[in-house]
Amino acid sequence: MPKSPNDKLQGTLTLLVLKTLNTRGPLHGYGLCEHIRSVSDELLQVEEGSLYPALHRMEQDHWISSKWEITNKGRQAKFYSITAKGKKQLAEENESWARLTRGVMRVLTYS
Amino acid sequence: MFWKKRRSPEDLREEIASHLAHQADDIRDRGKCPDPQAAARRAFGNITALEEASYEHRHWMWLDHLRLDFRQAVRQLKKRPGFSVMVVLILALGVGANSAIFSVIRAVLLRSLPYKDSGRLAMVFTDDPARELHEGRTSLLNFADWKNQNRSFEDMTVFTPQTFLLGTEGSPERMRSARVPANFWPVLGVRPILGRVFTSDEEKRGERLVVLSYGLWQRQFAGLREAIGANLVMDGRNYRVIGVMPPEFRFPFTDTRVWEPITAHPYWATRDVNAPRSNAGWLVLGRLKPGVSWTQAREDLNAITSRLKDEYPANELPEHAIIVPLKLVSTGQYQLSLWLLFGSVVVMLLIGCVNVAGLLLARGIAREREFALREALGAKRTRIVAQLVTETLVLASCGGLLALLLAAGITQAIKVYGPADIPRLSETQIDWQVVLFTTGVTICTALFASLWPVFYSTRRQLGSRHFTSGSTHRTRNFLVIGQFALALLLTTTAGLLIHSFLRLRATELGFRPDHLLVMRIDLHVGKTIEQQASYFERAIERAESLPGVRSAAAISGFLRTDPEDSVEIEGHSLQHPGPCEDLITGHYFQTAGVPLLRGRTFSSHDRRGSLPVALVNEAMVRAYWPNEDPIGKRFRFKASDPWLTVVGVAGNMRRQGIERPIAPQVFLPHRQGEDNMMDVIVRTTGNPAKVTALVRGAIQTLDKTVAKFKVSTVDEELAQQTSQRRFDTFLVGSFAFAALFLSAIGIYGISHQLVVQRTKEIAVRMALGARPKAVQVLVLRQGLALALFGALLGLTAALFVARFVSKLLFEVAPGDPIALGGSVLLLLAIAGIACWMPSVRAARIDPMRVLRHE
Repeated sequence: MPKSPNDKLQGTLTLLVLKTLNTRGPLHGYGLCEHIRSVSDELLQVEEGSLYPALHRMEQDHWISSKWEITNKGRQAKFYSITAKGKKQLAEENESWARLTRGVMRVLTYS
Repeated sequence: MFWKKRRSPEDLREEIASHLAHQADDIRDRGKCPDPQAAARRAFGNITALEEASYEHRHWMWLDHLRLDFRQAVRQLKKRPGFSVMVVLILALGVGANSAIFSVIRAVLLRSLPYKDSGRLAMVFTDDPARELHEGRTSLLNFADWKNQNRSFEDMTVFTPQTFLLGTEGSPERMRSARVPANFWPVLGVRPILGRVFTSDEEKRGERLVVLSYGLWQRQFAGLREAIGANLVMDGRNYRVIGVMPPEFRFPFTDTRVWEPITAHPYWATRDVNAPRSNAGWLVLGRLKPGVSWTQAREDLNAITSRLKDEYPANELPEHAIIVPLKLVSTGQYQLSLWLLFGSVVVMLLIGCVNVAGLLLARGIAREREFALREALGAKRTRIVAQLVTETLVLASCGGLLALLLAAGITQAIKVYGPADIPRLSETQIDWQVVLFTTGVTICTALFASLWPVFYSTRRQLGSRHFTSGSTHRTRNFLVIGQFALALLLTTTAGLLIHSFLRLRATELGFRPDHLLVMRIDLHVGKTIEQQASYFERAIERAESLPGVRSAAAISGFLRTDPEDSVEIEGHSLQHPGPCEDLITGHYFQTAGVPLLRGRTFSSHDRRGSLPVALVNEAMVRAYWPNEDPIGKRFRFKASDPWLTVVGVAGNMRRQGIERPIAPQVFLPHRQGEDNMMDVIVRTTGNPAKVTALVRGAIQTLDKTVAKFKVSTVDEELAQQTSQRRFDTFLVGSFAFAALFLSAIGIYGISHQLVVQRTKEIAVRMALGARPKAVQVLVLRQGLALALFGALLGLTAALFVARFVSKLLFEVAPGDPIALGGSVLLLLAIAGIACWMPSVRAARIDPMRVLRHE
């Protein structure tokens, strides 16, 4: 199975997607990109090239589910929503992310 | 992960389209953009890459690649049928021979014996170097002390092989039996398949019970359950059958037919129960306690043995005890030769590997451009390597399948023509373990053979045209040298064995084996001494009266005789061991073709009551009366025997086995001794096989109670003795021949390739004035130099290996110059022949044509 070169960022992307879907409810791919970009004050730019494979992987892992629906602009779009399993995963990733940043911060602020 | 939810490429494409549409909508909403769709696509990035990534994510890519590689491989191999067939045949030959020998080794050496926890079973022998006694037997009294005093064995049991005459009416048949105690069965850990074995109470009472071998049960009772409780007549006594052993139980001998309690045999009361401590007629088997090593057990028993020797000085007890694991007892003597065979096939396989590697290398060079092109089109190096390995594996699996067929054929031939005395050889079969072994060897061989060419092939760059670079040359030279070194190793080993075999064939037997029949005649136990002697005299007379028979005689053992324990030459003290002793009757020396050197032979006057006389052989004279006239000298075997007077000297006869030195031998007249089992020998005028039936019939009608016997020619009996050596020599010789053939192909292929690739260079040389002869010599010299270097390297290895096989040699030194020199010359000759064709081709190159093509 070919692996993306940077697993660390992949993991972050998973966290961002799960978090977004959890707070915002069902969203399509483009919506996800836009949301993450705007909420992060354009600091985080999600690459489409990695977003879709990530979404598919998460769907295969049953963290999210998908459905074709019509947007309020009248276009077809695939909407993703978080599952119960995904919520559990989100809690875990949240925790590990918090631990990581806490650790990194401690090291950085150590004088 | 194909079992997870599939996502079709269309779905992804639609999703991307939807994404782009949304993005375009947004761009349009912000305005100012003339082409929002194009802008959206620009922002999105590489759609194809995303689709490809998604495809790879969804599929087991390596499976996909494998399928493609496989198809490609088959296509490639079909394109070069000659190359493919060659590789498949070489692999089949090498792997097939390996599988066959492996299956033999597994059946004979590797499989554990059919007893419970057989690794802890061992025979305990006595060892007395002073009397040249090795693996000697023990007395019952000594055994009892071993059994009671040792701390190393869980239990020990004792037994003795015996023979008996089976049957009541007509000619009985002599068969092997074993007298065993009740604990014989639990020590071995075996159970009967039918009925039971006897108990120690029954053993104590000496009940006449018998346990049958599977074979005798089938033959005598047609495998019926009613055999239990039936009657079996052995030596004219009635025994009750109580059990049947499984077919694989064949202890102590493969042809042991029955087991009876030690105490049931009449010998128990007459000989054994009060036998002195020196009466060593018993074999001892023990089961080692867990955790006790062989060394510990040996020290333990040695201590007891030497204590007993000190305790009973008058009995001349043996000095040491030796412990031999049961497995080694039966297969020990075959181990070296079987492993030698295995080594030979491994060497042969390696030579085959080198050949295949050479072929693949040549093929790789020929396909350099193809690989370079593939790489330029974006194929990863790993993919090219995988493709090459797949090709080799496809070839190897064809070779492996063929190898299995070949192995089945070879093992069948070995079972039919191999020596009959190798235990469990007949149980050789191609089972799943052999198949597993073959698969493993095939894959290893394929990887080994393809390893080098693969790495070589993928190092090339597109556009580089140094076809005959230094590194290619070096590798190929290395392959050829290695191949010749291995071939020489095998040829010298075969040479040593062949030379040994020829020496053995040329051994002076001392008698004329041609036109000679031999049969072992066994008189019923109920005859008096005089009846026995007169029976043999009548049998000889009867045989001599037949047409086609020149003369006949009888001897205690014609091709089997063992030294007596001691001899006392008048005027000297008792010596160990003594000469061999045999009774003879009839015109023995004339029939056997042995010259009488001095004195006289026996006459009808040499009978009981007259002066005890003896004939001796030359070896006896040389050993005991050197530079003296032996006629009239006296000797005896034991102090209790009467003195024997030497009346004649006969020539030496090699009767103890062709490979053994001639021992001193003594012949006594049958009328002055006692023997109810003798070999009758018959010298015929014509082909001895033609009068076999006639002789048998004539002797059988003489006395219907005489046991059934087999008539064979002495030539057959002698061939039996050399069968193991013939087997080894033939197989190693065949493998060496195959190795030479493979090496010849190898060096031919490589020098041919060399000439093809150097065509331009040779053409330039010729254009500049080199003569064809010189070019031919150049090519030949190159090939021969490699062969010579390989041969010298192999010679060093061969000298080292020869020391290991020296035990298998007969009157040939491991450094035998004939075998070694002959092998080197043979190898060089083969290299010369193999390089001749390419050299002629090189000499015929037309520089004009070649250079014009440039």
